[in-house]
Amino acid sequence: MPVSEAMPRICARRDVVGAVLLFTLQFTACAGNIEVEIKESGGTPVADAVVCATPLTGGTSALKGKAIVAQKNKQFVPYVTAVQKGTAVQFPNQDDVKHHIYSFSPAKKFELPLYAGTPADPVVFDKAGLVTLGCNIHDWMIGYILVVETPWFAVTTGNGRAQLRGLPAGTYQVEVWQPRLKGPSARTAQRVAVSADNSPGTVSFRVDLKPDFRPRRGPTGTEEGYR
Amino acid sequence: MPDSILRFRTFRGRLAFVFLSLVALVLAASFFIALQANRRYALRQIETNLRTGARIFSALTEHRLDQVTNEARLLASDYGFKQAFGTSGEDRATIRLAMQNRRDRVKADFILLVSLEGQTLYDSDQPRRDGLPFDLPGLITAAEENDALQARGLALRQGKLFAVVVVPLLAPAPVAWIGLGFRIDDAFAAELGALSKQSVSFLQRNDSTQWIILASTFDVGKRNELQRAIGALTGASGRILQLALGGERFVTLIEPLDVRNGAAAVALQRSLKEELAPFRALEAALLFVGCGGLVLSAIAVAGIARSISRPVLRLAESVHRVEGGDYTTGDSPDFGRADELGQLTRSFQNMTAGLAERDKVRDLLGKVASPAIAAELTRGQLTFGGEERKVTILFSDLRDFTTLSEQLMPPQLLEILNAYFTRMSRVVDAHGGVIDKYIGDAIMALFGAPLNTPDQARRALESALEMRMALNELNRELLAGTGRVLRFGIGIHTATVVAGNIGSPQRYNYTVIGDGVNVASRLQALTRKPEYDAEIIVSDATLSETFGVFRSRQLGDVAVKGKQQLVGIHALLGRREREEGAR
Repeated sequence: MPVSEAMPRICARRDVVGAVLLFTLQFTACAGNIEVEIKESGGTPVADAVVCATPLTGGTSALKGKAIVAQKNKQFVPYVTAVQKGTAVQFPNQDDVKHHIYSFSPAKKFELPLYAGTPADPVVFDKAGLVTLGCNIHDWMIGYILVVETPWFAVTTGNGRAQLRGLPAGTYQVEVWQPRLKGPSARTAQRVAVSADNSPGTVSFRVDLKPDFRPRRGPTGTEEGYR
Repeated sequence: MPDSILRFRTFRGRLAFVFLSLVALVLAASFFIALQANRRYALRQIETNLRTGARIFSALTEHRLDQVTNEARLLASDYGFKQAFGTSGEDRATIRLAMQNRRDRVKADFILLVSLEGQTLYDSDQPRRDGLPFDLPGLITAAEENDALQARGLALRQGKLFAVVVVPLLAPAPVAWIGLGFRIDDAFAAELGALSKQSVSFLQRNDSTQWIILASTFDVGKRNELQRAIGALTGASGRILQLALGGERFVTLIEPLDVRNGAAAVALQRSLKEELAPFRALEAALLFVGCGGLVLSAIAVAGIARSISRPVLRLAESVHRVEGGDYTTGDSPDFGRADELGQLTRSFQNMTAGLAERDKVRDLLGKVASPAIAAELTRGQLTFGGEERKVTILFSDLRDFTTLSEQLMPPQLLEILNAYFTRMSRVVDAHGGVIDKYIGDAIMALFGAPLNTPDQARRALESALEMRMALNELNRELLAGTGRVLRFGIGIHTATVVAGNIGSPQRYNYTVIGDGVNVASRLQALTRKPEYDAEIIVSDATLSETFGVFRSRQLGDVAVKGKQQLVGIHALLGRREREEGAR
């Protein structure tokens, strides 16, 4: 079944006490890293997967940050972006044509009607959840912004690997989400303990993916149509 | 002549019967073979056409579905609609109106909106289903598994047949399913029927396994007939059947339709009568040609039979006449024919002429003469009533024949005698003489009668000499065969005698009477006398006429009974050699 907006409530656990603890933890000794490797059940590395770690003990701090999702060559670049709740995202148009970006996802409904260059105001994503971006002019353009509660997240590259850095010692719920993921991400979640001395090593995930539903662009690249 | 008429009719009739029967048989066979071939070809054509019609149906439906799919995709990418769906998802009224609007835009029969979970959000055809699970979940599953996330199919809803397509509403990821449908109704059937020139009916099989008609190009009457004819037919899919609808035979192909929620089929039909119409014309033409051919053959046969039987009959008549003694052949129209019948006619006429001649000669002489004499006789005007003329008479007689006859068996005796006669008569004939009669073993020959022969004496003497030679030859054979020889004596005399047909009308013979005959006979008897030592004795009268052509020995004079004067006789020895002009 294709992605449903209602689904990904991942890395969204909140704990007030935890928040205080984290503050405390920040001043403790050096933080650890988690190396994550995600592979498909067939062994193929999975790219564009968001990995986030939610501390089970303690909370997260909100880091107000910025993110950029550009439109380049009539695609969303990057395809999958993860931001912490409250991040303002810029959408610079690096193409020579105008785009009309929209999202009807419950987590953020917005649209940036036909524009070129960079809109003055970035869009603030203040609700956790999955936001699916589309372009009204170019039907094939699709991008994802996963808004998470935790500041520790990363997106896997082509080799299916990602690194979570600066994690204070503690136990974390590490979850994975990918646009083609079959089933809820909680199903494949793993508990990882981070100690002060060193990283726990590579955490491997084996996931099942659905076929890619995205309409492909025309073969020549200039032909901007469906397959 | 009833007999000949019967025969006439039988031959002609038989010929006509055999020939015409053969022709009729061949024509009938050709006709029926052509008929059969036509039928088979026509049915094959119909089958091909029906299957083509089925393919047209598939193609047409697919084409419509392609169109509708494109329309649905267009609708699904309508930003306004996406926005309406995305931003006011719970506002059913807005959604409903938006959908109705879009359905009307593309003039579809209905439009559907189904959630990703399979719940009917809006169904323009059955509005009361809103909120209930979608009634064609198989379609949604098929779309999910499809590369392009779309599906199409046929469905039965409330007794009507629909074609439905389903496409995703992408915003930009799939957020719902949009469906468009059109009815498979009479109009669709009519379109299909017009394209493929056949009758189209859509059938549904309901629970009681009866077929009912959903849509058709037929009028109500024929629909009922079709309903009756199909009834509870099973296992008919894909086969060609023949159904009778109201007296008209239709060749029918029933193809099952792939319907998601029921059993349906399309029946494609062509009227057999219409299909066979061009072939009927051909058959009529064949029949006409056949009958015409038969009639012409009959005429030809009659002509041929005639051309054979008529001459044959004419010949038969001629033969009959000949049988009766009538040798008049008349002018036969067949005489000049170049073929076998002409040959027959000519041969027959020659034969008849020959017979006529022979008969004539027989009539004239009461005996058979050599062909030369016969020819002469028929040419000349001769008297057979009796006349005096100079004739040379030759008598020959076998010695000791009586003794011979006692020693031999009758068949053997006859054989020898006939061999002797055959040779002797051949010689006489060759010299222009005529065998008058055979008296026992004696031969009487005439030279100079009935035809005038100027050198009759010479001929007679030549004849005698050759007869001697012939006898020697015969004796050589006889000696070898039987160990016996024949000896004869010949007497020749020339005198004026009375010649003519002597006897009664029933039995007469051309012969001569008078003293001269006796003399010749007497001379022959004298050859027995050993003192003469002569095989052939001729009289003065005869010899003097030969002017020294022959060698002879004087024998003296003898007295012959009844004659006062003595007759001088000579023994004939042979021809005088080395004489110029001696013959």
